[in-house]
Amino acid sequence: MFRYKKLGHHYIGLVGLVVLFGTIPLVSQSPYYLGLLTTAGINAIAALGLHLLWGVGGQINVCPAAFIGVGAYASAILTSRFGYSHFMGMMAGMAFVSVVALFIGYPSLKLELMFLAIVTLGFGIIIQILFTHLKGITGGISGVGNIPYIRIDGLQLDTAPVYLYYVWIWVAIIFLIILHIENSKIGRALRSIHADEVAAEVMGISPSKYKLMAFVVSGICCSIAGYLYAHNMRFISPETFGVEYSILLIVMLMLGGLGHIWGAIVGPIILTLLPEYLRKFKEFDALIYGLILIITIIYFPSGVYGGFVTLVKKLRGYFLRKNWREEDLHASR
Amino acid sequence: MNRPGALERSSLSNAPREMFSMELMHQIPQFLISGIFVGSIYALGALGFTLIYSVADSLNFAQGEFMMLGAMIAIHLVQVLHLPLAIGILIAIIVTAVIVTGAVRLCIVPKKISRANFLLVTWGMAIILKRSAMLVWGAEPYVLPYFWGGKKTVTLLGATIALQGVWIVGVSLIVVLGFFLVLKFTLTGRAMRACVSNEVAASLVGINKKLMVMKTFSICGVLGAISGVLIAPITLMSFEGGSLIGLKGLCAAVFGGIGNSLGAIIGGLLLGILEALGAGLISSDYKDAFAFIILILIMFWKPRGIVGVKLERRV
Repeated sequence: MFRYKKLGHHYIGLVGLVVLFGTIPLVSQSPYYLGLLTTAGINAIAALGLHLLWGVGGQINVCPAAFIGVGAYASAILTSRFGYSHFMGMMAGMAFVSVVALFIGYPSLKLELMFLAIVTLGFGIIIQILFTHLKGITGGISGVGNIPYIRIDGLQLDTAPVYLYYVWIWVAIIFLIILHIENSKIGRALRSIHADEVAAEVMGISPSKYKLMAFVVSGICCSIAGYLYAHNMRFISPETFGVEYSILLIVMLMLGGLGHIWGAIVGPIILTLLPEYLRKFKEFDALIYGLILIITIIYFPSGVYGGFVTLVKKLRGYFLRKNWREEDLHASR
Repeated sequence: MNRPGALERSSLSNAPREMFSMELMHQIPQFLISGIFVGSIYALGALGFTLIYSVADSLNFAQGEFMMLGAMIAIHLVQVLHLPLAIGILIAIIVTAVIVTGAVRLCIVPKKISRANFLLVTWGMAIILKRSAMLVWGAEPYVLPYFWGGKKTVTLLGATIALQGVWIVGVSLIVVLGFFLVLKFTLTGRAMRACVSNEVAASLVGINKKLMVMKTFSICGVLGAISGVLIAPITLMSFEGGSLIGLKGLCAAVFGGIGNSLGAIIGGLLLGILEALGAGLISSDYKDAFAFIILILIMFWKPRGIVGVKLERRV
C-alpha cells in the first residue's frame, strides 16, 4: 500500500528535519528565535493543508486564515471559558471546521474553479465580522485571553523549547498524512482533476467528491494550526485572522514552490524568519509580500524548492552522464 | 442628515423597541433610496468584474483598489493642489487608467499565466496599490467636496434624498450606457466580444488577446475611478476604503450571474437594496456580512445568478 521505495527520499528529508529541529534548542535557548521557529511550524501546518488543496488539487482557497481563526477560537473558548481539556478544544475546532468546509464547499465545488475562491473570500469576511460582533461568545474586538497552556499527562508545555518540539511533532504527523494522501488513489485523482477536470470525469473520477475531500482535509489542517497558535500566543483577537494572514500563507506556499510538499515546509520557514531580519522595513512588509507574490508567479513559478529540485536534477544528470561516458569508453575498448 | 449612510445608523439607534414596526414602516423608503445609491456603486464594480471575467476568464481582486486610487488622486488634486472639482476628477480618472494599464503591462502581460495565478497576481497588485497609497497619503481618511448641488436634500415620500445620491445614480446610468455603446459599436468593443465568444477564432482573425486584456483593464480602471470619485463625498476614503466595496461588487456580479453585464447591474442594485434593508431591519452591526451571506446562499439556490447565465465549462 505505501510505496516506501518511491517515498524514501521524503522520509530521509523528514528524519533530517527532525534531527535539525531536535538539536536547535540545544544550540540556542533564546525564546525569541525558538518562538519564531514555532510560528514557522504553525504556518507550515496550514501550508501543508493548502498544498493538498491547491498544489495537488488545483483548487483555490483564498482565506485559509479564516479556518485557522475558527480552529483557534474553538479551542480557546472551550479551554479558557468552559474548562475543557485542550484535546477537546482541538477536536471541537476540527469538527466545526469540517462542517463549515462541507457547507461552503459542497455547492461551490460543483461549479467551476473561481467559485471556491469567491466563496472562501466571502467566508473570510463573514468570519471576521462574526469574531468582532458576537461579543458574548468571542469577546469582540478585545479577543479571548488567558488561554491555558497545553498539559499532557501533567507535563505543562510552557517553555519555548518544549512547545517547539510539540509543534514540530505535529508538523511531522501532518506531513506524513499529507504525503500519503498525495501518493494514494485520492492524490492521483486530485492531480488528474488539476490537470484536466473533464478528462478526469471521463476516466470515472468524481471531481466534486475528491475536491470536497481535499477541501475538508485542508480545513482540518488549518484548524490544527489555529489550535497550536491559540495555545502558543495564549491570546487571540479577530484582526490576526484577517486577509493579511491569508495572503502571507499563500505567499509562503508560492515562494516555497507550489506543487511540492517540501515547498510547504521551506516557504513558511523562509518567510517567517526573513521579515525579522528586515526589521527596518517594518511598514513595508505587506508591500514586500505583494511584490514577492507577483515576482514569484511571473518569473519563478516553481518556487525555491522547485529551483532546488531542478538544480539537483541538472547536477545528477551531469554526473550520471560523465559516468556513462566512462563506461561506454570502457565497453568500446 | 444629508448622508445616506449616516441616516440609517442614527435612525436605528433612536428607535425604541416597542415602536419598532411603526417606525420601520416609515423608514423603508429611506432604506430603498440609500440602497439604490450604494447599489449603483456596486453595479459599476460588478460591471468591471464581469468584463474581466468574460475577457480574461478570471477574477480581478484589484477592482476596489482602482476605486480607491481614483478617489484618492481626485482628493489630492482638489484638496491639496486646489484644482477645480471637475478638472481634478477628470485628471484622476485618466491617471488611474494609466496607472492600471501600466501595472497590468508589468504584471500580467509578460508571461502566459494560468487562471488561478491571474487571480493571485491581481491580488498582489491590489496589495501593492493599497500599501503604496498608504505610503503616499498616510492612513487617515479624506473626503472629497460634494458635487455641484450635492449637499442639498430633497424630501420625497418621507425619504430624505441627498442630491449627491442623484449624482451617483445619474452618472452611473450614463457610464453604463456609454459602456454598452462602446462594447457594441467600437472596433475595440467588437474585438472584446469576439474574445469572449471564441478565443481561438478571435486570435485567428488577428485579435491580440493580451492587448485586449490590457484594454479591458484600462476600462475597469476608468469604471473604478468614476465609482470611487462618486462615492468619496459621502463616505470617507482611506487607503483601505476601496477593498470592501470592491468585494461587494464581486458579490453583486455573482448575484446577477457572473459573466452577464445586465445581470451585474441588476445584481448591484438589488444587493444595495437588500443590504440597506438588512442593515435597517435586522442589525447594522452585520451590515457588511449580508452581501457575503447572500453570496453563499446564491451558491446553493441559483449559482447561475438571478438573471441566469449559462455556466459552461471549457474543454
